[in-house]
Amino acid sequence: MTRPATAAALDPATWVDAHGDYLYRFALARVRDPDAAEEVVQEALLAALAARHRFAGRSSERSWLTAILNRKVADWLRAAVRRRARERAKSDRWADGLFTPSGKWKVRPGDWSADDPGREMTRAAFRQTLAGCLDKLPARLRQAFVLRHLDEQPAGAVCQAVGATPTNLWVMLHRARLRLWRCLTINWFGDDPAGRRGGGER
Amino acid sequence: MTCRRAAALITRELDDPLWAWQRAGLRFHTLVCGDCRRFRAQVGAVDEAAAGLLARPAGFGPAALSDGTRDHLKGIIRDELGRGG
Repeated sequence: MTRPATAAALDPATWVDAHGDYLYRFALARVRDPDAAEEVVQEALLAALAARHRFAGRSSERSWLTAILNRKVADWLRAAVRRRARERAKSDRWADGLFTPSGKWKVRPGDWSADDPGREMTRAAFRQTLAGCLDKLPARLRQAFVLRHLDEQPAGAVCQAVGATPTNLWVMLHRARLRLWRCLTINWFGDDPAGRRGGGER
Repeated sequence: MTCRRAAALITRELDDPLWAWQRAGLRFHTLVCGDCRRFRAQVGAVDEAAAGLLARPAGFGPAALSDGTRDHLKGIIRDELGRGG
């Protein structure tokens, strides 16, 4: 079997068996919709096939494929967010419910951990809870949040890419973060508002 | 500044730099408001952890291509290779 020298490290015939599930998981974690995940994996594989002669061998086959998939996932998320971001942000009763009418915390942020919260974050069980909280976000908020972190660009650049006003995107990201934070407060740290703790510990 | 407003600035700060007057207002508010200080530390940690989780797909549990999709994808690749790319 002879292959062009530049493609020596690539073996497209084995891609599906060698990397298919990995790529699918990668896509699914980001787009969350199984059909969409399969679709972007297929698009990525086709794009990789078309570009395989340009593979320079500087990275492994898997990370090369993953980089291509990452771009396809970002395209998909941008399109999804673009569809929603032009709508005027509606009021969010859930987020409003975190505050009193005068703008104070209704349930005061509790004490998460006596030690550095960063240490807590490394545990596998914590990651599982966090993944569950991400999945509980309404689709549009999850998409905006994932895109924000996938692109690793300032929100301003993300706004441009999705044709949203900064305010609209900020509102979506704000709501996503409030929900994530609240979800973890309840499901991981235990709902222990600071206001209640004053009464004595047990 | 209300806590509601402070919370909005605290999360915005994770995306974009605030204006000087917003930063000053937020600094003053968090100086006197322990709740918002706590929220700021917590929501920042959550954001960072979520970003870390999204950088590694394994965190979302097992998932695999269906056999049908797997065959379909293999077929596409085979056809494409057969055409000489």
